[in-house]
Amino acid sequence: MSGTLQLALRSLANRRTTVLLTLAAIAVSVSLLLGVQKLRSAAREGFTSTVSGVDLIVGARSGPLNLLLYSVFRVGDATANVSWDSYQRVANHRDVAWTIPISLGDSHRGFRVLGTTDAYFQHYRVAGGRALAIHEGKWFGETHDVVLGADVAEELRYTSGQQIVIAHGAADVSFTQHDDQPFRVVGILERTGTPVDRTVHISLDAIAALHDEAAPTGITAFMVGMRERTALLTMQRALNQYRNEPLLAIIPGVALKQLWDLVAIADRALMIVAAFVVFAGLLGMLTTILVSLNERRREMAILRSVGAAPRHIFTLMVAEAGILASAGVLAGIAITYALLAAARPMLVARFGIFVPLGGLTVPDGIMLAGIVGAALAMGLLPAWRAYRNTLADGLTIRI
Amino acid sequence: MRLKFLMLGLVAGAAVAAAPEAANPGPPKVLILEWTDLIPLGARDQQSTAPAAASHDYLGESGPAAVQQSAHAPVNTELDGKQVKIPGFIVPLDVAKDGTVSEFFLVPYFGACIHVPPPPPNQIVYVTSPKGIALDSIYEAYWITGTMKMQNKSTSLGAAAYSLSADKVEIYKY
Amino acid sequence: MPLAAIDLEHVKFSWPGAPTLLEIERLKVERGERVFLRGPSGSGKSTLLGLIGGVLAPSAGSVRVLDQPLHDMSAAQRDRFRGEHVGFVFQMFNLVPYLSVRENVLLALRFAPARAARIPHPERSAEAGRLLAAMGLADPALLDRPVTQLSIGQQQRVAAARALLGGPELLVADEPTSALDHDAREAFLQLLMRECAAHGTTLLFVSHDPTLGALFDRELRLDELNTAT
Repeated sequence: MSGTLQLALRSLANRRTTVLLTLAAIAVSVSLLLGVQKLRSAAREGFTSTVSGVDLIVGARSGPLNLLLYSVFRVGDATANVSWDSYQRVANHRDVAWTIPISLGDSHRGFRVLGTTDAYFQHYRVAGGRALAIHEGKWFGETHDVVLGADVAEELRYTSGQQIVIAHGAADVSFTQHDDQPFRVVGILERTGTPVDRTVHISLDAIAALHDEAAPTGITAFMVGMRERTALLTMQRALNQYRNEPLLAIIPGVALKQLWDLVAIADRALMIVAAFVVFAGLLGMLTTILVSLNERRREMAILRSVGAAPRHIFTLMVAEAGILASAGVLAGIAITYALLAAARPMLVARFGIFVPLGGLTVPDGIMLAGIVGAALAMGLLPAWRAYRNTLADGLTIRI
Repeated sequence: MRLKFLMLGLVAGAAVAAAPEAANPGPPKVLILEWTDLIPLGARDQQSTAPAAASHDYLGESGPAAVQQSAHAPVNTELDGKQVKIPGFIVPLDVAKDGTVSEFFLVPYFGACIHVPPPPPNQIVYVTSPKGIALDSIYEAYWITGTMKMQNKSTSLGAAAYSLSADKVEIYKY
Repeated sequence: MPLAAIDLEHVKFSWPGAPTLLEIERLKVERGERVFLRGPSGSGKSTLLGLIGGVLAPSAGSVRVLDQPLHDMSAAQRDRFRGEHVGFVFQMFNLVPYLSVRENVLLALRFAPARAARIPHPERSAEAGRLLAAMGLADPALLDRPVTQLSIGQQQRVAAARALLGGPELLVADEPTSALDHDAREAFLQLLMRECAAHGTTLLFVSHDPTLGALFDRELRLDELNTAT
């Protein structure tokens, strides 16, 4: 059969232009499907890996997804603050093991500024229970100390000891800069693959100082770790019913699942569209082969005259479809990786999605094999036509 | 005389048939539970499976935090160590990178964490599943199979009285 | 006693539900004979060549080629037989456009393992070159050129070389010179005859040009042989 394969390759090479166009169509459609697949899993991992070990997240009453988005993903904004008094009440509760207060709202050259305490460094965990680690320097000690996430340090090329200025409000550029209160970078965190990398960390006291307050009067949100995990439902209920101010307490796992369900609809729709695009690409391939059939009847007669059987003709056509599809798939894989590598920085910056450029997973492989299989199945049609033709034509070369 | 032998034979036969049964009791049966089973027999009429009464002033909004009465939601000790199968809704606590859940609460009704008060401690099961379960939807009910254990510590209000190490999770079909 | 190269007896052919296209009482070609067959269009020439080539099975009668009963063989067996023992040259478009000259000649061995076995693997390319030279195409640069760059005359010579590669016992030429000019015709025929004579190849040459008949051992008229027309 390698003889037939070689013939198929030579035959395709002869129709270079048409073949390349068909190949491009398949390659692009495959890369779309594969790219979407990779983005999906990156997004899902991105969502679920952002935080772990936190029992409750508490903020001013808005919506659960909103609270999750701004407290963990640093996307969006809180509508109101949590009073310091309410926070203290919870922080000092006997059933509570630890809390991490956070204050958002300031920005530094496009990166969000987060005010917090030592508790953040001690208790914040990313997926798999990984704690935060210092890459260079130390965690903040003085009021105007700053600790940078890995991406901030890299993109702005900051080093330890550098002096920076914080702006008010979260826009890229703000004209109310706090020039009179310079901050000093004392530490840079190790990369986490989460929004932590894109955050500028300062102390709560610094936030208060920025707003000319002696001490913090309120925070944006806080995270809670209970002494006993099993007690969190009661604490959650109590916070949601809290009479002194409107609060919302969410369980991160539940909110993440809700967020994912929301995204899943769009995600599934995207996959279906991508699958249709691949089908269109394969139809293009089918058309190319079918159209060429008529002018190849002489070629088939020549092959018959040297002893080829109709089944050889059949196999030749199927082989051409198989080669086209396989080459298209391989090209598609190459395009996917090239595009993902190029788009990675943008995806992290805009959406907080970190796309790992790992190899193909088993589901990926099955999907791609399925595409080649579908192409071979489609190749059966022209193969069958050619088979029938050669039976009728025999050696007669119709001019 | 013949009757006596017949009787002896019957008894002997029965004994022989029963012996393997006694020697090999067979695999431990899985107890299929309803949520009322988690309340010990004696306490069942006093306690319903409905949500617990609102914990009064847990955060001390009107003055100092109220002293918690130790929640005596009695537990059914007969279930300790047993293989059980129980249906309920899942409240995920730890979601792994691939979306699987390794720690969750199992509760008798949906919304226990959203807008309805939490169940009493003997109506919450704290479940761990080392290999993680793929949770398709938090809106569905699931059958959880595993070994039930009592929480040895004194349960504060809202804590779960039972814990379970899950072996199998299946969708609950109505 | 030499076996007949071609032997047709009481042969009839028709497509199912269609009138008889070919009916031949007897047609016999001896081994090594060079037969000139006059067959104008509509005389059943394609059908006859199809039967001899084994792409068609007779509706009735026996078709023996090199003493093999093609009428008793399966389609696959007939295809194989054709590849191993018969060489074909057509009027035009003999060559596969996406293969080189050399590859077109070697095509004769692609579907015929026994025929290929007659030439040891490393010598095949050289043998193809030798046959091309024998047919008047001695330029080695020609070997790798795409066939689309050749003239008709050159293409026909390549086709002849292919038909002869591996020493098949029978060569069927269907109007191979009809597209060539007069001088080229004579030259082509001379070379073809010489090669066939050298290897004892039986030659069945179909043409409507009566001037060529003199070079052959025997002349047959298909419109007289075929009682269906």
